[in-house]
Amino acid sequence: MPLHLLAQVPRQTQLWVASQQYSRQDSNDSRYGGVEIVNRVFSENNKNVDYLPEGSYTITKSMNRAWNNAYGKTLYTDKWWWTNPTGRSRTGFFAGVDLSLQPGGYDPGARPQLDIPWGEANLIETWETGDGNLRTVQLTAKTKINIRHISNDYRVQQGGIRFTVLATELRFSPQTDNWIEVGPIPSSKIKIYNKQLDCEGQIILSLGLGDFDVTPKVDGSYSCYSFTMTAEPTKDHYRTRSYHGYFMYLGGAPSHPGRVNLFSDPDGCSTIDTVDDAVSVGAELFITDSIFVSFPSPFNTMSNPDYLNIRKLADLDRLRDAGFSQVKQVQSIDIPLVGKVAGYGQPFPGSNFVIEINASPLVWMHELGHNLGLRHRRESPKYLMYGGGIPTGQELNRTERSAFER
Amino acid sequence: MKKLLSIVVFVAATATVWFFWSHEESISSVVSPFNGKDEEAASSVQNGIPEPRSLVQSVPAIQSRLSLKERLARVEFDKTQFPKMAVAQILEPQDEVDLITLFYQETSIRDRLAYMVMMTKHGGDKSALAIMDMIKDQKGVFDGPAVDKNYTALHQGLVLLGHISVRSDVARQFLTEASDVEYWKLHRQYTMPEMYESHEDRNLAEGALFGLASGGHPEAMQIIQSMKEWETNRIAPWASALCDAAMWFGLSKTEDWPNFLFMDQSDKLSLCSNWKKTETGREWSAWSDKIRGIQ
Repeated sequence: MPLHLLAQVPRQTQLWVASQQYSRQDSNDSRYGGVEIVNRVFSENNKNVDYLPEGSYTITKSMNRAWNNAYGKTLYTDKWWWTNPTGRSRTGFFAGVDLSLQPGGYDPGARPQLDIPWGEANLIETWETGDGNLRTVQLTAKTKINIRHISNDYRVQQGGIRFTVLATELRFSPQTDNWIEVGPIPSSKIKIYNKQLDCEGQIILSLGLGDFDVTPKVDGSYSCYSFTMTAEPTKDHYRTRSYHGYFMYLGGAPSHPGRVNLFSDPDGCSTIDTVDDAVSVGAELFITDSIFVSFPSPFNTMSNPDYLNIRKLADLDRLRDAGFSQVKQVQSIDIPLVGKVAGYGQPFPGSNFVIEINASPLVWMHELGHNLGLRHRRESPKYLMYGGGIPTGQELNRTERSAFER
Repeated sequence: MKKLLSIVVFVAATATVWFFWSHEESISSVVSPFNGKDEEAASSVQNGIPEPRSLVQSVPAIQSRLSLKERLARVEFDKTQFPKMAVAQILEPQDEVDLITLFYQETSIRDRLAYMVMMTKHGGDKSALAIMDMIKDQKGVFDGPAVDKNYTALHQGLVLLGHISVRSDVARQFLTEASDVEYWKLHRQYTMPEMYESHEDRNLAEGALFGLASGGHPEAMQIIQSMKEWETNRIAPWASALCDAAMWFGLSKTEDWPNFLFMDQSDKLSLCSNWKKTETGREWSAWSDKIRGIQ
């Protein structure tokens, strides 16, 4: 099997709750003297699933019957597993709701995300009950979430992973003896890996292979909250390249970047606007050799016409549109009355492009943008798809992001 | 004595006021990049009755006295790039001499390129001669197009003469003669590395043809059409050049053409792409593909 096809095995990420501790102390309402403790630790060695290469998971070890009865069964999906010892229990809490009040318990089912009922809590509530007694509830919880990033293709390189976190502030209501949702926590108050989420509650992290603690950290002014977290690898794009054969005489086959990443991490965005917003984007371009690694005839000439140093648009168009590879590398493109052109593509999906040998990573990603159907933007060179010259930045809006991550 | 002195002072003051009153308009209209159109519009509104001069009107008059260098600095002119539209908007016909001076102040051809582009805006015979002399006087050895920016700038300059040729018969005549390879066999003084040398005369002739075509001159199309009739082996090396020359000629008839050089690169390429989608453009592409054996 060709190397570039082997390389296209999708990356995988696995999220799991490495540890989750939850305790509730209620001075009045516990058969254990006001203290009920759930303290369960999950780790790689303790996880009760085996990973199968074909991409499915099976339960090989179950918790004992007593645990299942208390907390519900753990469900698994093909890529993710969802575990929630308190949220799945008839006696536990989920998203602020006392599940003991729900008929039949609460079973949100398998889902490709990790739902954590208590991300962080450190709250003491004291109130006077109707009979004149004082009642105190103290909650403490600590959750640790790990991610495992898997890809044979990346080896020691780093790949992009998009994280999304939605957090809701919770408060205990003495009147209803229940937890209520106060409202969403702004994404500006949440960090993962010490990086603040963007205005959409997302962030792209560039991580190597292995396990990483990606527990969201919420600003200390929020005592209790629940959150939902998802993580997925950013999109890998594979394109074939070929080059003018004369490069072999100039010192060997020309290099190509091999892999170019686009981990755009905007400083922040204050408005929701599909045109101008800068949003986090993750995409990676892998360049592999085509079957015709050097230009076949009639594109292998250096005169009549010169496909190594292109000076005519007619030549440039024909080379670009030729089907022997998706990306063609040439030494230079300089068109009279137009000027130096670092890369030359067309804004529709699947189109080819021609690129200069010394093109920067931004030019590669710009041309990939055209290959994915994107058009130019003209306002500022900070936009990756800037059309007035070579872009100096890599900002993209939502529409452009969807093209790169599709 | 005192009376005589006051008469002298009065006469001198009157003469000074008269001098500035009579010369102010001509001074401001020479180099003002800002107020010319506004004043025209104002006077038309007033049905030809001159408006009283005010302090407000003196502001553009002060700006008009800015030198070309100062105006270029205001629009963030960068001589390493093709000048943008903002640069085109501040250029006036009277800037030609200053541009030629700036052109000659640069010692390398690549640093002259931006000035050559600006000279196309209003330049005539003086600009044409400056560029032509530079091209014809080149001696020594150029490196290849990928590594020698002076070489690519030289070829750009040749094509840029086309825009000037609409105001310069000298340029038009030169481009017509230089569209023939034989001209360069006789006149080219510089040399190229071996891999390029045998094609350089043709490359220069192609550039001159591009220039002549971009000037929109009928003789350009006559040359193109006559070459198209050559037998296949003879025309094959020229096929893509004729295709591009026909495109430049076609674009020279569009309303965007006078400012084409100052457009964003993507806009330029869009106009080219649009032309290629026309019936004429498709015919030229099909002809070129057929000559070159491209399926």
